[in-house]
Amino acid sequence: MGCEVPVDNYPAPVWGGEEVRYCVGGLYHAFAGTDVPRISVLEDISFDVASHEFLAIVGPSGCGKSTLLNILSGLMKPSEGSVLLDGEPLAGISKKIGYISQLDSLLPWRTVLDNVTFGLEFRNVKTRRAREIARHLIAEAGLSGFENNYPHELSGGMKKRVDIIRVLAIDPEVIIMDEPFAALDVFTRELLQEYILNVWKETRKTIIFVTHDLTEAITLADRILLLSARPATIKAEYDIPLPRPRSPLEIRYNLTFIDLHRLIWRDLKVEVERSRSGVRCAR
Amino acid sequence: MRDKKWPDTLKTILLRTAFVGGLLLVWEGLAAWGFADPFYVSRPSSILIDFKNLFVSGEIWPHIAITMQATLIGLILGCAGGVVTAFIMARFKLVEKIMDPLIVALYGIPKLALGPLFILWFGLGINSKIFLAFIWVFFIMYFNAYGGFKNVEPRLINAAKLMGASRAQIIFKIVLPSSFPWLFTGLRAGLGVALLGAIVGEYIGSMAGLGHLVQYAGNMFNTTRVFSTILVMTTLMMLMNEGVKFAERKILRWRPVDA
Ligand SMILES: Nc1ncnc2c1ncn2[C@@H]1O[C@H](COP(=O)(O)OP(=O)(O)OP(=O)(O)O)[C@@H](O)[C@H]1O
Ligand SMILES: [Mg+2]
Repeated sequence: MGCEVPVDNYPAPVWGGEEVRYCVGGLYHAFAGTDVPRISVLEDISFDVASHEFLAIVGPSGCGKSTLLNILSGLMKPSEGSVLLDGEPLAGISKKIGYISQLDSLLPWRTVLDNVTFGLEFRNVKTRRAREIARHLIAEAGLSGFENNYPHELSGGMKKRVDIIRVLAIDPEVIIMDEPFAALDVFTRELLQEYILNVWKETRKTIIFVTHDLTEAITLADRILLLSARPATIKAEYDIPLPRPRSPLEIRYNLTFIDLHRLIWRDLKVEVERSRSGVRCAR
Repeated sequence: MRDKKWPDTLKTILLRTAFVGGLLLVWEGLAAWGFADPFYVSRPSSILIDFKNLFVSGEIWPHIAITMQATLIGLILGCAGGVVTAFIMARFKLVEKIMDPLIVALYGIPKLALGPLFILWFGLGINSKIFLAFIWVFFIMYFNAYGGFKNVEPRLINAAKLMGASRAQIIFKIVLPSSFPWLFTGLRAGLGVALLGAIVGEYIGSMAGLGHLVQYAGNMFNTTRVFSTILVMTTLMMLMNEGVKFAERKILRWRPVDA
């Protein structure tokens, strides 16, 4: 597959010419409410994701970003529409997909090492081999010496790294991230942005990254999808032609960055305000 | 932090020992100077001597063996029954709907009142004691295990699903370990009621066992023997409790210290 092919055209972000990993067509989703009849959350969402792309999705709070990710990860079925992964319809959970959410989902009763090997236990990897893989990843993430610590003994940023390498251990082709750094302080967040950029550069996996932080989206992504207030539609799409490698600390002073930020923020603000007034109407 | 904690525990232990020692002295004094009739209240020195004699003569061992047998079998069956029932209830909505009110209602029946019935059904032998211990442990374990199974973080289950875990793997790798703290609480509480169940059963009707010993001594107006047997029961309880606490510390090592 695309992932094994060495990528020599790095750092140019030519996602357009690559294979299509995800093909999402005409997604609609509505939740059956208990008191209200039905909440329409997604409306006519269509987009493609290229195989080595870093795609960010932004949108106002409560618009349906997590719902969209749950559908892309196979956790939920959309009310209507199709999701193709590598040309095949996505039917439920797939081993090609890794998922990382805002709160870490480390198992508190397992050490760091055993948390990282967790996913490999479902892939018939021998314990010895699994530990080898885990040790290697732990060292690469700068967590050597913490192999035998329990999650509650780690800082928030360290836990997040473990959460990420646990997904890297199962070597998925796609990593879906739902506001992964939202619960961290600004400084830790920047370090992790740098880390995830590095991971992406090394592994060239497809990353779909939801965030409410526009700066973060521009810093990381090749392309940004802007979702409208609920029910979410794709309001706009922006290419981010910033050069790579990017440094989260430096890139925000780049003039193109500033222009992009202003442009996208203007559109996003409209939706945030619409979503706020929507809440007011609903009350 | 750890080296500050140690003198604190030491202090507590010393104060507690002093308190209990003081009470025993008062008791001894009251009995010695005739303020209280040793016939009714015995006295600590006689109790300790009788306690020692029970072990030196070896007379106590068969009774301990019988009571412990009923306690442990009742405990094991009760825990297994409670955990399995809780699991089924937590897993199947319909069963839960039908059974939950019934279990709560059954729990409301005073177990003590059932004792004579069990003896009628299962006889004077060990089975009636096992059953009484079982039924007591069962409910305690059921409620704890149910709480544990219902309180598994959905986040962890989702993460396991996304990693490709099967249903059985989710149960063994997520649901059970995350319920361990609850199961241990159930086990510790179950230990107490298992011993209680066995002893009460023996008390109501039996040929041997610690409960039988207490009852027999009571009938003979042998207050000292009643107290020394109670001391044996308390010692057993403490030993078993320490055993479970030790296992708990080993198995639940992953929990933050202040939890
Ligand atoms: N299981 C559900 N049942 C009913 N309604 C739901 C369910 N899950 C989400 N919703 C509703 O769907 C809408 C979108 O939710 P979603 O979590 O996808 O938004 P989001 O964009 O991820 O929000 P946030 O920025 O707060 O993470 C919300 O209004 C929410 O109330
Ligand atoms: Mg969300």
